[in-house]
Amino acid sequence: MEKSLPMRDRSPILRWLRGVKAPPQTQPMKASRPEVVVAEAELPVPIGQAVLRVVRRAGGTRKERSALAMELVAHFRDSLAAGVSADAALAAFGSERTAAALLRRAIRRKRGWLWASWWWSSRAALTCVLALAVAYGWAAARFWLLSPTISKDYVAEILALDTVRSGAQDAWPRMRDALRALARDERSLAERTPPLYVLDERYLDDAGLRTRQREQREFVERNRSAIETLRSVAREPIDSGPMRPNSQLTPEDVEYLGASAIAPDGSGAEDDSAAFLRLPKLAAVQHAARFLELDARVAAREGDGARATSDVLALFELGRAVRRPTTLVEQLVSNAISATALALSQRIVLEHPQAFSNEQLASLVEALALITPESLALDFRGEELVHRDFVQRMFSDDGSGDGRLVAGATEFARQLSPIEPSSVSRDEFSLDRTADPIRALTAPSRREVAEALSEAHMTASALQLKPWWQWTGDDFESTARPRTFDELPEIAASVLTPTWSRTASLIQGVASVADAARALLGVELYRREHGHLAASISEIAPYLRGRDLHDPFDGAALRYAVENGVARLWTVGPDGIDDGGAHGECNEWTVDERFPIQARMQYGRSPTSKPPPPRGDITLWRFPIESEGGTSAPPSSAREVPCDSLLAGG
Amino acid sequence: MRIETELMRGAGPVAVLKVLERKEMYGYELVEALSARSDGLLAMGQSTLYPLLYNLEAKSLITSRWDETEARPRKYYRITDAGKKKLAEATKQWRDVTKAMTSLGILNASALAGG
Repeated sequence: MEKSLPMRDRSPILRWLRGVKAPPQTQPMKASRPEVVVAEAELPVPIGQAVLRVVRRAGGTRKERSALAMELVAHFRDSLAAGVSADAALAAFGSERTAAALLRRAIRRKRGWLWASWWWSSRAALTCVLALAVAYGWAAARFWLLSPTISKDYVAEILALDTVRSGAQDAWPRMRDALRALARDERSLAERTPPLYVLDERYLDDAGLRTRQREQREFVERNRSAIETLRSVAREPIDSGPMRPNSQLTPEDVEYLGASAIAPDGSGAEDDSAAFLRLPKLAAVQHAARFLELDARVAAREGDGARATSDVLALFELGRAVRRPTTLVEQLVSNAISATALALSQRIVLEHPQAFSNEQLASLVEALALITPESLALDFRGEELVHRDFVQRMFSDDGSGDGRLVAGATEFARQLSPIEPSSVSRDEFSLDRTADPIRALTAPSRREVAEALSEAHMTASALQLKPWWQWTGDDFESTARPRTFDELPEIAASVLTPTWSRTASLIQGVASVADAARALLGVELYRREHGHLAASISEIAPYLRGRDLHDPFDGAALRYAVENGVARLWTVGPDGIDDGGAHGECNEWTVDERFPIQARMQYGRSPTSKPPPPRGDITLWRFPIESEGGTSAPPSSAREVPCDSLLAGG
Repeated sequence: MRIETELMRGAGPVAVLKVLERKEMYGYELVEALSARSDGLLAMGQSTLYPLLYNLEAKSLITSRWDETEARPRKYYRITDAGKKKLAEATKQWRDVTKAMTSLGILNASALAGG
């Protein structure tokens, strides 16, 4: 009875069934509001008010307050009944505040463990919420109030890497004028031009191809002078490097390139960030390369080996002329022009071997021998400076080189809208969603990002010169973007993530295409000297004048065989197994398709979640195209494999 | 003479339990009894008496009941078995303290006997 009552004693029905008397009444029968209790007691006003004040401050449920009011009322009524005055009773009662505070705590203690657990857990939850609110407030203040610190002029450092400056030696004005004449003539051929209409031979039937080749011949004939200018300026320094967005172009450049070349969005942006560096002349240089390619093809068809050779050599020179460490784009364009030149070398010799003299073939071999991984290797200095400039525009700086992502990053990224992640549609893409105080708080710091950039730079630099057959699983893993960037908000990651490794891995492929072309020229030189095709690859070695012909997939010599008067060169392909030349057919193979390093990656991993691509070798060329029995056919052992399946797998 | 707060904090609950040992009492009656039986020495502030009663009740050392049969409803407090046990322990402790105080010469044995 003295302790809290068990259910069997609290329930009137159970008590009745057990024949037990009702327990003492622990609560008043009626729980009127404290005000009513005091009013009904008819106490002196000061006492009534004091009671209400104490009850109100003590708090509790209505029932608890009513019980307390009743008890205090009873106390004072007893006190008054004992002959104590109202003032004396109040004085004897003591401090109202002390009483209320002590009563408040005492009332809570009486409530039991369930209430106590709820009370403490709710206080704990409230504390957590408050702590989170404070943390969010702190993060938000830092995110919104701190601004990026632009402390370094990285653009100046990038431009300082450029050794070719506009001046008397600059061949650009002559190239521009020649291109202007060629473009004007080309527009007369077709209203809507593909990258180079007159060069395009795709999707044409025999009649269409004959017409196009006639157009090409006439075009070259009409523009012989302009093409000669291109051939000549390709060997001179060309100021095609990056320019600040607010740089002034000559009126002639503006007329040829268009005003948009310097500020494509028409905003006239004068932002000095590396993101707004322009390369307005680079596309024009690429056009010059395409015109030289056109002229070489026409010349080879006409049997003018000297002109074709001169065009190819000019292309190699042009590739070297635009190469500089200022930006990755310039080096990629340089490599692309070189790739065009070496693919062109192979094509024109395959199609028109009789057009070239021994000396011309030898000079082409020498030019091809210069195309090595080392000559194609990318210099990431400028590109790394670009990224460092991005970092200083997206992160705060605490003075010691570290800092956090700030709201200014969002604004900067907004200016780079073309870099929005392709996996997210424009409608779904929300900058507010991708960069907020909390994500900025958890994202890597400025120093961590800078370190990851340096690491990616070093990885790419090392990997680009590492032969594919030496690549390990870790090398393939390292071509993926560093984990640091995965932890960045989407927009920041899309802007900052370098794509160097993937680009660097292609270099081995381009060098292998050069090897294949050089091998072809060696085979032809051998045939001219000996009157028959070389029986083995070792026999043409004296004609190669450069590095050995390595199969990029296994490091052995490229595979070579002669069958029915047709020589074939092939690589073992991504599976690393020599199937004797089983191959896929594809007329428009790019370097990626000829040397699918990405496909090899799947063989390099074990186990793999994806099925490996089909096994099979990849034929690099068959020579001569016209054999004694007609068009050269693949050997009987060859297996037809769709070109794209080599990459897609399955 | 009033007792120091710290001392009262330890003595108050024991005094209340001791007074309630005889019979159940309501608040004002308890105030009066404490004052009368301790010559006013333990006449604690009434503002602290009720919180003290609530705390003792929360510890199940006393229990209460409402009597609304009379003209003035009153809440009566009564010592529990646990309260009696606690009182016995506290009494022993106080005796030990008293003995120690006597040994130290703070209390006078004859005065105590006379008192």
